[in-house]
Amino acid sequence: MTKSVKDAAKQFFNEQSLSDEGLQKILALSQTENRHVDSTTQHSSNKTTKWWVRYGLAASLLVISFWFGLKGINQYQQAHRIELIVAEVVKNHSNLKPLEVNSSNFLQVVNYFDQLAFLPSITQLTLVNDQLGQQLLGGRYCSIQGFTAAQLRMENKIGQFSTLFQTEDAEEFSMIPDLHLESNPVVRFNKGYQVSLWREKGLLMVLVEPASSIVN
Amino acid sequence: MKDFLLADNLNELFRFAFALTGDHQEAEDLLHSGIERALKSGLEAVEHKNAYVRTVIRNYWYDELRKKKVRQDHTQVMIDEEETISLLEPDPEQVVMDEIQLERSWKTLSDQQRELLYLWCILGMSATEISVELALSRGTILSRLHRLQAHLQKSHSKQVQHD
Repeated sequence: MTKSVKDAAKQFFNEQSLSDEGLQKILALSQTENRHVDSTTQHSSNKTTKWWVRYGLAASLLVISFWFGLKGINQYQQAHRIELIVAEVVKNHSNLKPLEVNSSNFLQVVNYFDQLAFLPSITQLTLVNDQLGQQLLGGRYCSIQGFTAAQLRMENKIGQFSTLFQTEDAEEFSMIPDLHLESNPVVRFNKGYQVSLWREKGLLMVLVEPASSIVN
Repeated sequence: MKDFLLADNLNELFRFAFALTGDHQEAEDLLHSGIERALKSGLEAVEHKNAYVRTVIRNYWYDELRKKKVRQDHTQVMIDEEETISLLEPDPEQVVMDEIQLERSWKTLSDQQRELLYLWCILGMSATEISVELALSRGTILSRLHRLQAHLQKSHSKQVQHD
């Protein structure tokens, strides 16, 4: 019997499934992540709580939820996204993985990134950093929140490294200020680094530099 | 998170990975790598986990694909899409084909076409929804859907002649 491609596709795809081994490997991944969470919460889950404490906590939560409302939850999700990006880029920066292209010439470095869907750009803030004696060392591919990114490494006059990450702007980054509309990037501190996040020229830019090298 | 880790849900994501790779083993590897990356990026805090993981998988696949394949393939697709095709949205119910014919056509499809087939027929997305998922214009998606439809119909006609 002739069918539509929609029905045929559904039947075809439904015949494809993970092998038992494949499924177990993926479940093992999540268990590795959960072990980190469980080890920090185990001690509190063993405690007993009085009924009036539970009642009080429940009532407090209702008041807090009413107070924050949907806007508050949305702000939390946005802030959490920023924290996730900050943690990811600080980890990438401090790993100091070998550069894939070594050059102080920005154009030469950009030409290396021929597999990106965007063009890495010089930012206004890079121009500012030139005044602090930053020199471009080179770059490598990386990712931010699953999006392919370019990582540009620089070194200042006293031998400290900073990294400028660039990736295509996306809906997920809408909470981060656009340099063309607002004047200041979002700034966070993490493990001794200052992390600045902003959007510019249709790109997300994230700069990681030692907090101690900032000249105020 | 528990719902995300159910076998049915993981199989749904596996089928998406299979659409991209066209190969069972590669799909398992891709899914494993994608979920690993997503977990490290804080998947637990994400509201729409499947959409997030599809994005991670998609980005990771096209990074790996571009390292293996010639750039001209990607460039040629981009050139073709500049041509204007009908603005009417094709209907997957109207394209006649059975599963044996689809299986035969499967190997002739590019990863982009397989992914489109999945989003269009399995997830039932409209052209607008696909354009949001892939961060492409609706016009580009319509163009790709029409080309996919034409490719499948052409492939079906050839098979009917040979049968």
